[in-house]
Amino acid sequence: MMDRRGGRAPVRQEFDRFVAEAGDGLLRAAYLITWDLADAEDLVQECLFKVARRWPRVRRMEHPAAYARTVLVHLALDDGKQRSRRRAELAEAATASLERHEDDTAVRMLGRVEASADLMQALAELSPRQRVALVLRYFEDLCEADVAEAMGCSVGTVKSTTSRALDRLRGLVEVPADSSNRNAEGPTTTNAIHLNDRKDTCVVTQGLRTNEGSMTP
Amino acid sequence: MKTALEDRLSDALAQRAASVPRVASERVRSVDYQPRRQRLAVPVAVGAGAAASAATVGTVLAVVLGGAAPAYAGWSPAPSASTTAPPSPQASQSCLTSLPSNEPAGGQLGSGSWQSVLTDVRGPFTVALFQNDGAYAACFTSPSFTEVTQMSAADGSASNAQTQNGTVRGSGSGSVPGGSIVAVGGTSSGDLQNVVQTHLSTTADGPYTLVDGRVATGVTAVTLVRDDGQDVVATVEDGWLIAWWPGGAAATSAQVTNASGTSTEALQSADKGGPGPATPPQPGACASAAGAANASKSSDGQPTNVPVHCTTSGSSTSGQGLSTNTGISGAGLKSGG
Repeated sequence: MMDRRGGRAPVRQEFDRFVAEAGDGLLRAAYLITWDLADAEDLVQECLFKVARRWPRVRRMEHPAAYARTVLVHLALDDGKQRSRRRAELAEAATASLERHEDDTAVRMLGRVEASADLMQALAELSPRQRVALVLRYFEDLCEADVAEAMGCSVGTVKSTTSRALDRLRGLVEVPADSSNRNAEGPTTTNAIHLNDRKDTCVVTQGLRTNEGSMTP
Repeated sequence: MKTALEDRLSDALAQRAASVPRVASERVRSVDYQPRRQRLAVPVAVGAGAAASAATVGTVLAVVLGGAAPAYAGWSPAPSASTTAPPSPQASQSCLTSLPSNEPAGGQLGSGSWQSVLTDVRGPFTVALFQNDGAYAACFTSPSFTEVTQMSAADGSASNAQTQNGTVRGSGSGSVPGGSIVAVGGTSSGDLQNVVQTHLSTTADGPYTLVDGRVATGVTAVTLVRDDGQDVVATVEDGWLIAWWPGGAAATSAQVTNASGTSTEALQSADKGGPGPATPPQPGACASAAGAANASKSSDGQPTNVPVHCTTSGSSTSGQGLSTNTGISGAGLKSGG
């Protein structure tokens, strides 16, 4: 777009850079939360529209991407029940087809699908809220306090939600008896929006605070 | 310390996340999210300008709210389509239901059935001009609302209040926040005439500015130049002009194309050399401007030609107008939905 005074273009370029940097992470998180690519794209676009409308404030935040992620989580939780209902209405054949597609993709990319297939299936059966908690903890690698802030609930609720989700997964997948720590360096989260070095220690908050106070997504 | 399940969970999530196809990321990035340039002030309105002609112009705004939608996503500075064909059946229906079929007694906004004269399409947005035997109306349909701006050259006040099918037309006095309606007038050459610039805002979609009016015979194209430097190509057909854009920027000049070429002409108010284009709404200005306009008189004691128009924004958008002796009068329609 033409901009003779340079007022609009820098803002647009700045936001475009933000989308380029944060968009993939948001999309991956949305994909893990919704468990559906089309829903994930819709969710991220809705999220980015909301962020764009608040960009004058969001751009001054320390972590705009974290704010966008919080918006994303709130949108996902708001729409989670409807999405679960829609998914439940899907025919079993359609669901099976979707999973086969995902498995094929995973085989090509990582070659570890056999070991994860049962866990993938189990994750798909969790509620959106449970998946949100797990994604923020084990994919985004957030501490419980930051998960609580992103979800808009207490730390206790995060703990109980996570615990119930893990219990359900244990009931659905075969877990080796050895539960020792085999990866002290933490999970592979190369696609996540990294804010913390360790999820047990809250280093950085969700980026909701500006010089003018908190901002509700 | 992580358990084996937590390790597997982290790996599984990373694995699935990595399977997001690149094309999906590209689709996300390709959307124009229209980031706001600055924080929005509380939308309050002032109409600073002059009447387009000696005749009083009446304005009625009608808003029918729909579902939530992104703020003007898909808008383009050049129309994606301009045609004298009527708008889509869906848009027509939405517009016509918002236009009163007959003005109440004492009304000034024409009568008779509405005929489509021009349609401007920019992405998912359609602005259609309608005309009856005494007025014309610009109908703006978006994914989230329909708004009708109705203009008339007839005399009298349009500030009647009425309730019609759950729609409340605002009274013609007082000041309310929301936007402004400004008669820019046109260009000194007469290539553009009776141009009206309307600043409005909706809660869901933010502010936008609508410009409509007439062009002289022979004018084939008009590009409006805004005060923020951006050009917006207007739709020009059959002597009519229409354009709109997101935000509150005002048009300051026009690049007019006719048989002798393209020339840039300043937009002027009709009050003899006024600086022309209106300024966008300023917070808190509506009430003071209304008082100033009503109190403003020339040396011979006659009211100056300073129309003041305020439109209101309640839960989303509505319209309401103020009337001066020689300026534009207006009234608003609002309907939640």
